[in-house]
Amino acid sequence: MKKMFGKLCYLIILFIIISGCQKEEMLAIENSVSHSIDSSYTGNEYNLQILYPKNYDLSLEYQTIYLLDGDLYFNELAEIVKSKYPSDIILIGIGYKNKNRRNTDYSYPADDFLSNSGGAKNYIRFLNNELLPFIEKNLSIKSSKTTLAGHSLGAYFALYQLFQQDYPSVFDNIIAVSPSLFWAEAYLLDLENEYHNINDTLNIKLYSTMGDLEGVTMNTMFDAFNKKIESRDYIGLSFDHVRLDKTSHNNNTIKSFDKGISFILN
Amino acid sequence: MKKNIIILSILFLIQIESYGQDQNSKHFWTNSRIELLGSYELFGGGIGFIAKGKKEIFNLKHFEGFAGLAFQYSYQSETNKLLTGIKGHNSDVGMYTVFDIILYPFKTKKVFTGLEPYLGLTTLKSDGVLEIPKHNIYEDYSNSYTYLNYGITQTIGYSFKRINTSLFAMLSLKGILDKGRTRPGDSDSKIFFGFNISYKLKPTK
Repeated sequence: MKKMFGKLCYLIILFIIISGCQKEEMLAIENSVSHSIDSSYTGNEYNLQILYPKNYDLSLEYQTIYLLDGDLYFNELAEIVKSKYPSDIILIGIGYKNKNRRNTDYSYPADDFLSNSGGAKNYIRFLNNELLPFIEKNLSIKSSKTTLAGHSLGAYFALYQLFQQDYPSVFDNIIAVSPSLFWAEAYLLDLENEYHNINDTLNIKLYSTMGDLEGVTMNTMFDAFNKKIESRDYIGLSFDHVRLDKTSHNNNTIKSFDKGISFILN
Repeated sequence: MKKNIIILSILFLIQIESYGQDQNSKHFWTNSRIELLGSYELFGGGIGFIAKGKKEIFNLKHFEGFAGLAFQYSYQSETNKLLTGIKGHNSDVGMYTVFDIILYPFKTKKVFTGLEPYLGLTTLKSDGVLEIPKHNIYEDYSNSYTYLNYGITQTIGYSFKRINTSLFAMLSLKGILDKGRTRPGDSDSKIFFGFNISYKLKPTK
């Protein structure tokens, strides 16, 4: 009896550890389909999960949201979109068919902080030249506005692709949740400075958030970046930023995506 | 916050009450343990310590049970860690009530493993500044958050008479019941690893 109790304790411990560490399961979401796409720029195969609106009409245009880290967040966000915006939005989660390469795809320049980082230029080319054309031509999805939404390094990428000037930024809205603005010695501040030197226009709706429990580096950089953007008076920019109370890095994700969608729709 | 303080006060009173009842029959310190743990925070890299005082509540052939209190402190520097120009830190201060169940799988009570649920309050503080002169940036940040924290500490160790040594993993389960995402290792649901030394103050004769 006692031996059984001991074994039971271990099974419980094992269950807690495994359930805490495992990747979230990919469950089938009603009105959603999956596709895969190869990229000649990054060399990766990407998994796409697409949530269509209720009573989807091929002839109509919809708000299209491209969600980075789709493997992690698509299911949770899809439930919110279905309940709050059932007829307005097409949600496209971009994940990985094989090994997750977010450290490479979402970052530029390379930084010692993460190995194999620095491949964001190729990822922009993948989005611009392969993914969006695939969505529009192969799947016949018509977008009234396009949004890029990312969390952490994904949010850094969303902002990086906005201010870099090697390739056009093709998105109308950006939702940047807990952006890793410290990346490569705050490289984004340099990039924004370069952008501002030759541009007084920034046609984008930008929504950004940070959790108050995310520490000193994340929060001070968040404040510094927001003040910098606000001081520019960019023509065409609609910008809002929020620090969420009692919110940690990973707990910020879904509720901020939700708030961000509300911001871009209004 | 008020709710948290009330909960913690009730838990502490239960502990004190159980000690009080025990005092009627034998010396207060009989079969009590004091423990000191060195902790390392997985993901965040914070280092610190945990001090515990526990009272034996049962002792069977292969099982022992203890109840007590734990105080935790952990410190994580952010100075120039992710970004040059940052001077700052995060700290955790926690006070928990603990219930420890120890299993001795063999005949001799030497090798043991333990499972210790804990419940209490943690205060998470952040404080620091960012300076980037080339962008004329100076920002300071300070935050404090006290919350109900709960989880499980697991141990495996070896007993030398009155001294026990063990390795432990302390896993906060906050996030499961607060409608948040399950997020082990996040700033308010941390995972600690470390080394534990405990000393039995006065064993039963």
